[in-house]
Formats: sequence, C-alpha cells, structure tokens
Amino acid sequence: MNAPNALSDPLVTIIERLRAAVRRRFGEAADIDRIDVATLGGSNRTLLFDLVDGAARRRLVFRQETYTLPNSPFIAPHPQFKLLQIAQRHGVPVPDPVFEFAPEDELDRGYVVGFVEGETLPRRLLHDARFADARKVFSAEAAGILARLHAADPAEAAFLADTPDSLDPLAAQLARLDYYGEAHPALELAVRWLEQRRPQHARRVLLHGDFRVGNMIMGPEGIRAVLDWECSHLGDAMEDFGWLCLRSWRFGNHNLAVGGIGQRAAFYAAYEAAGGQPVNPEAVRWWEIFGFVRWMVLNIMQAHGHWSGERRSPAFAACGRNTCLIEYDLLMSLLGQYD
Amino acid sequence: MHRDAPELPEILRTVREFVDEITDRLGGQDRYHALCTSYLLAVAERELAQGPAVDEAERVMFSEWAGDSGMLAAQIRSGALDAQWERLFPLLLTHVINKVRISKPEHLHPMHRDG
Repeated sequence: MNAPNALSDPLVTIIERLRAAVRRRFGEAADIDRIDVATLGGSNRTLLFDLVDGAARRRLVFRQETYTLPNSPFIAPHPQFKLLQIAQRHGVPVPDPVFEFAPEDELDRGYVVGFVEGETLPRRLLHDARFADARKVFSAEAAGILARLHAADPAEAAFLADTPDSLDPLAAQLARLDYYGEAHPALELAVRWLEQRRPQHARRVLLHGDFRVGNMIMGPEGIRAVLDWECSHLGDAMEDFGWLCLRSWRFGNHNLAVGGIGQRAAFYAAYEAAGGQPVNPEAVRWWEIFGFVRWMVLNIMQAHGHWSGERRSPAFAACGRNTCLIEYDLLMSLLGQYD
Repeated sequence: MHRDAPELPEILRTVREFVDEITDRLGGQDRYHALCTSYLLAVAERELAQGPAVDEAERVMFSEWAGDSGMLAAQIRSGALDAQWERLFPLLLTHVINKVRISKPEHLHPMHRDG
C-alpha cells in the first residue's frame, strides 16, 4: 500500500490485520493483493481482495460488521457464517465460507467468503436481454433452492431457535415498531387481520428470511449464489414464499408475482416437484400481508436510524417517506385489489 | 409583513433543480444520495402545498375517533375496534392515499390518482 498517511488510516490497519489473518491460515508465503473497497457503509465494511498463494490466486470478500443497530432485526456475523456452511452442505449455492475472524485477528466480527461474479441489480435482471435464459429457469431454480433449504434439519440451526423472529415473527415486528415510536393506524388494521388468521400447524423449517431478487447473484444462465443471510430464522416455509412474492419485490412487474420474473403456479409446482411440502396459497397470502408489515417496519427502522442521528443519510430519510407506499400496497392487497 | 421573494416553495424548487442539474455529474453513492435528496425536496414541496388542507380534512374525518394517531393505533392493536374494522378501513385508506399523494403520487392505482 502506498498510503500517504498510513499510520492514521484505519483502512491500512485493517488491511495489515487481514494480511496477518490470511497468513495465520494459509502460511507465511500467502499474501493479499488487488484490494478494492466495496462498501465502507454504516453497518458493515466490505473489501474485495485476491488471496495469493504461490501461483494460485483466488478472489475473496472480506466482510466486517462495523455497527450494530439497537434492537437490530439482523443476526450477527458468527451465525451468518454458520448458515453459509449449513446452506452449502444442503446444496444451496452460496459464496464459499472461507474463514471467520478469531480474537487474535483483531478484526472484530466478520468473515471471509469466496467472490461470486455476477449481477444483483433487479432492474437489469428483470429487463436485460442477456438474462433472458436466467429468467426462464428462475422459478424452477428458486423453488429448488428453497426446497433444499427447507429440507434441512432445523436442529442444525438450533442457534436460531430463540431469536425473536423464530419465536413469533409478528410480535418481533411489533416490538421493533414500538421501539422506533412511530404510530401507523393503517398498519395496525393489518396486524389485527393477521392476528385473527394465523396459519396453523406449520412445520418449523430453516428459512432464509430475505429471499428475493436483489439478494442473489445471477449470471446469464441462472442463480449463482444466495446472499444476505442476516434475517434467517426458523419458521413456516410459506414465509419465504410470501417474501419472494411480495409486490414490493416485483420491481414494477406486478403481474409476475414471483420476484417480478415468474408466475406463482409454476413456482409452486416446481417447489413440490423438488420435494417441498404442498404449497398453501392461503398461507402464502398471510405471509405476504405480513411481509408488507415487516417491510414497513424495516423502512421505519432506516428512517429512525437517520432522524435519531445514529447514521444519517438522505437514503435512510427517503425510506421514511417511502413507508406509506408499502402501506398503500398493503391496504390494496387486503382489499383484494392487488394480488 | 410579507417576507422577500423567493417564497418557501420557490426556494425548495431552486435547490431541487440544482441538485437535479449536478446529479448526472456524480457517481456511485453521491449520485444515489443526490437522487434521494431531490426526491425528499419534491416531497417537501408537495407537503407544503397540500399539507394544511389534508390535515384539516383528516381532523374532521377522524373527529369521532381517538385523539391522535398514536392513540388510534393503540386502540386498534388492543382489539377494541375490531367491530369497527369495516368503518375504519376506508378512512385509513384515505389517510394513506393522502400520504402517498405527498410522497409519490404516481405510485397510486389510477382509481386513486385524482381528487
């Protein structure tokens, strides 16, 4: 590094510690190279780098938690890393979990995973001609991924059993909403609707919790890796369905319920064909109404982070004023105007 | 006494137009934040224009219900208003439509776009 102010630059310290962490695991001859800063963001730091080991070179991703929100809905890096390992064991495509930081690394909480080349931007994935083939196989691939994940023994992820979202996802949203201190009478109507119709007898499975276009890396041939495991918890398999089909995640392609790419019938059939439990469309609808409530609460959280001064940004401020767009879609869905 | 021109709506518009002008020269996160800033300024302009009339209409519309939105939200959550769901729903839909008209009017279904 040719940093002019090396001693005072925290990034230089981090890179030196990352180099030491790599050598602890891959030997003194190993080195790091081609370092790019992807995010220095408000809640995590992401760097891309090459692990150079003799003649071999491998592109990796360094991910470090820099800030933990109070009352955060996101699980910590350690369980995230374990989930990547579990998902990989069950044939779910994920960035290869390479190593976690240990105390002697002095890198706080985080891990290193394999870099996956591809596209995550929904606008391109939904519209660009080069993803036409990926769109054709999307429903079948997404269904297969969820079927494999949901088939995992939830005991493997027993560390998630007592998180608020595993215990009672609706109560978890309301606790967060109350913490942010913003009243939404229309949202409360939906909460009453949900309370009176909770799906019964759902089998408890391992959920991704944020499974949607935008949180997966895709190539022209299809899905390459499922990202963003920080909302994972145990619960009803239909919850992952409701989130993927949420109108907000169709990115304007409203008549293509499955992520703005596919139709429900083909997706449901593919899930069952891949060994998933029979799909209950009524339960999926319940989880979509729940999904609007949850997506509202996440936006209220971002706005709260902004106006409370924890992490100010025009983007988080805009989230606050976007909350009513979700609230409108929620009411139109309850009315049966939107499906 | 009247303050000097430009008036507040014109000031907001001036700032928004400048942000829009420089957005294409920005990249990455700055560009994204400029787009968000322009959006927020447009929200403020619409709120300035529509807010007082909406507040008054909603005050009349909710006059027979709990004092403020916090109290109404708490009453709904308690289940005390479950029997009133059919009456409350259209009022709260109107309230949410009013909010969307300020945030992003084009988000509304055509049936709610005018008026």
